[in-house]
Amino acid sequence: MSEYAALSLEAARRVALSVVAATIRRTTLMWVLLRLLLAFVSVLSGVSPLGGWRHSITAVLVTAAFVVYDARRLNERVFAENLGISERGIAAISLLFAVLLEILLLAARLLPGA
Amino acid sequence: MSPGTDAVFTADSFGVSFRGRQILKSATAWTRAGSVTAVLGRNGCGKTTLIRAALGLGRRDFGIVHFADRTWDRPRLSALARRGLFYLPDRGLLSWRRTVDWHFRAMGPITNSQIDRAAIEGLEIEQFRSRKAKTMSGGERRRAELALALTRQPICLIADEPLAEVSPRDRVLVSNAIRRLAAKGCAILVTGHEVDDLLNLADLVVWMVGGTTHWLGTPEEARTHVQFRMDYLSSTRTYPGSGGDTAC
Repeated sequence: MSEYAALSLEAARRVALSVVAATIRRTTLMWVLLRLLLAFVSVLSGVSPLGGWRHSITAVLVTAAFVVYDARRLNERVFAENLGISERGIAAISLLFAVLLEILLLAARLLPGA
Repeated sequence: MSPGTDAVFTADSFGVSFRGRQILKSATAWTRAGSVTAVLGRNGCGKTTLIRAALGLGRRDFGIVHFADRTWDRPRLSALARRGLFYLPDRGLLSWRRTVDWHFRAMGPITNSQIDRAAIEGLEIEQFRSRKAKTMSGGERRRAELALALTRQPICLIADEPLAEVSPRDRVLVSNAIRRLAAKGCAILVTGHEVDDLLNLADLVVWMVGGTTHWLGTPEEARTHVQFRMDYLSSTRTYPGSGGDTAC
């Protein structure tokens, strides 16, 4: 392992929280906006605003596409890459978070009275 | 002229097209250990496009990178950085919500005796180290970004317009810091339009025009290159070493 790679591992630990925070903030915003749009379409169609599994898949896929695109625009991304943290890692964090949000929504549907 | 075997970083024969428009046909830029290469060219000629394509940050049709004794046919900045490259983009290296000090802490503990502290202090960033990037001027951000680069002690620095938005006095500070970094053996590639400062700073000059690159040699040779003076400098000034005649 080169000296720079060793420095990168240390830096990754330090920078990760900032990159994750920026990524999660933007992913959540995108996901909420998309979900509101889907809910609006659902209400117009006369079905539940929460939608079904098709809505969940759509929300995850569209959010994933957004975050992969968005990861290239983050200031934090260039700084993180300069420290050896890959763009794919940043995008993967966003995608995992979008999936987590959908799982939470599915879980909310299963609650009694939902 | 070819890059030669002593080039530390070479962006070799890059071609980039966008929406049917050929931006780069075959552009090559390189830099050697301990020297500064300046890539000059008009706005929109593709300087930033070449750098971003060579670092995997932008699209490319073809082109390879030679760096750290390896050939990279699919270069990625993160992988190049792990081998000792640092990229100073034309804007947006610092996180706007974070202080300069936070960025320094993220770079790791500054305990290495090889770090040129005098060069970092020479950038005069102490007065705004505790401020967030979004509250700083363009020139202050530039100096802070360069100080971060110095902290990383790269073997190669790619700096896109390091003198942009920087006042004349601060350009001297930035130029001195870049020269000190080169003196320690770092290979540096810079772009920009501050011709006088860049020609004073550079050891080698590459001119980008028509989607390709032309090796002009030393700054003195560049100043006397008739086509370069006509098409890029387009100045009536007399440049030192130009033989006393003026450019068109």
